[in-house]
Amino acid sequence: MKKEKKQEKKEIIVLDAGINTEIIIYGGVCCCGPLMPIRG
Amino acid sequence: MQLSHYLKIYPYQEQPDHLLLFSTKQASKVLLAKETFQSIENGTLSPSDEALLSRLGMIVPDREAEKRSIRGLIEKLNKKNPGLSITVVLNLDCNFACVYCFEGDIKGKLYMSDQTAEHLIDFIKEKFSKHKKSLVIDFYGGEPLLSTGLIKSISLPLKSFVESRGAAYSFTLVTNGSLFKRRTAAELASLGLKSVKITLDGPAEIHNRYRPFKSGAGSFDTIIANIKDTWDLVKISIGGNFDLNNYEKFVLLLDYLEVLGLGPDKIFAVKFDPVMKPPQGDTSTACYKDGCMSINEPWLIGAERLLRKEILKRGYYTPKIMPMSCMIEATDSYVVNFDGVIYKCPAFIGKKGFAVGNLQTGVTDYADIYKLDTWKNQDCAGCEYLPLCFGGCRYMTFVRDGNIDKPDCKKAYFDASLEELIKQDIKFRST
Repeated sequence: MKKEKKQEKKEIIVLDAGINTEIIIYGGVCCCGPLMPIRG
Repeated sequence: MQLSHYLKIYPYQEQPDHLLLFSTKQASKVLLAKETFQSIENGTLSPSDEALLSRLGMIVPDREAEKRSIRGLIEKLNKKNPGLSITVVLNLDCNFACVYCFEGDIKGKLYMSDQTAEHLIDFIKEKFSKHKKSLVIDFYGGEPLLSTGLIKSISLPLKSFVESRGAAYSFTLVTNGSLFKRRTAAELASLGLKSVKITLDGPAEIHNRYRPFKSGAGSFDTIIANIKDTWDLVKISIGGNFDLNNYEKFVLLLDYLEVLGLGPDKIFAVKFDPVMKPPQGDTSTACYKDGCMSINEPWLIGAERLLRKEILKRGYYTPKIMPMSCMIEATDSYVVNFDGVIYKCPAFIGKKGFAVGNLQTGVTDYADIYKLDTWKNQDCAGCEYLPLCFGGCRYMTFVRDGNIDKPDCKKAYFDASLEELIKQDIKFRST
């Protein structure tokens, strides 16, 4: 019952799960961009 | 559980009963009912919500432990990094005469010799330890396509070496695009060329003023023709360098690309960045007075907001807001100049005191040269934006201060921009 209520109200809406900090790696050279991304 | 230290909380107009939460350490985004947010603070969150928000990095058991973990993140990344990344400055020659070129004072008919290329191959083989899974070379210049022969003679043996280890070889080009003909693209693609970054400084009238051929002739049409001829062979990213006087006109370039049919299906990514001022004492760009000395300059906030929105609106990919660091932090990343001298960032080539070794003698300890621990101070430790910058761009600090003793703090920039940039990502991206 509680679960149904939660789905109706959408208390938490995940827009982007982001990166997994356990597997992140460097994303390559920045070359003329300001910084180098750390990707998931 | 406590709210993460690396969390930004913003109002969300489209759903006023929710808050927008963004984790600066995981780049995760959620909309959270205000009621649920209250239950985090009250300690009454349901177990399933607690598990979800914990997985997304929004809540943590111990904020102090979380701060310690972020402090050690770069070290952890370096230990696990499966890749080796080498930027190779093949020459310091160019067929362009860009008004703001940061290599202006060191350029000339300077090319990597065959012998240095052999030393480079040996150096890379030695650095490519057994656990490495990928080698990426970024060929850089000057103009790297003035050294196409070297690209081939370096790539062939390295591709074969890396593949014999069961790993992947690829390379990229940072090029002005004027020499990137279809035949060249096809040949280089077969050797591992994966992506090309080509610079267009706005529409033709501006680009041709900022990035002319050495003869003074405009280069815009040549570059566009090459992009149209090669987009199906390799990923093409378009970069552009704007300043206070011209950034608004960059929108016209995006319009023009659409008219030409060079939409997001053909162009892999678009990103525009501000021109930096030359460092103090550099006389090579004496005629060029614009450019920025800090990402915190107020005009940049509006400029980036506008350009990023226009890029995303048209469906082009541009990098998300995510954890980033200066490339000097990556242990397995080197920049090799044409003469075999090794640096940690291409912007520092030729700058006194920033070499970290050479191909024959190897790399020395560079922790102090590049101030690796510059962000491990009280202020940065307390900053919720730390994972988005890790001390920022060392070269930007060098331009401003003449040294890199202090971090390139981006707090004012993030305070003014981050909310809008995240909301752009939500509005214009499907994932």
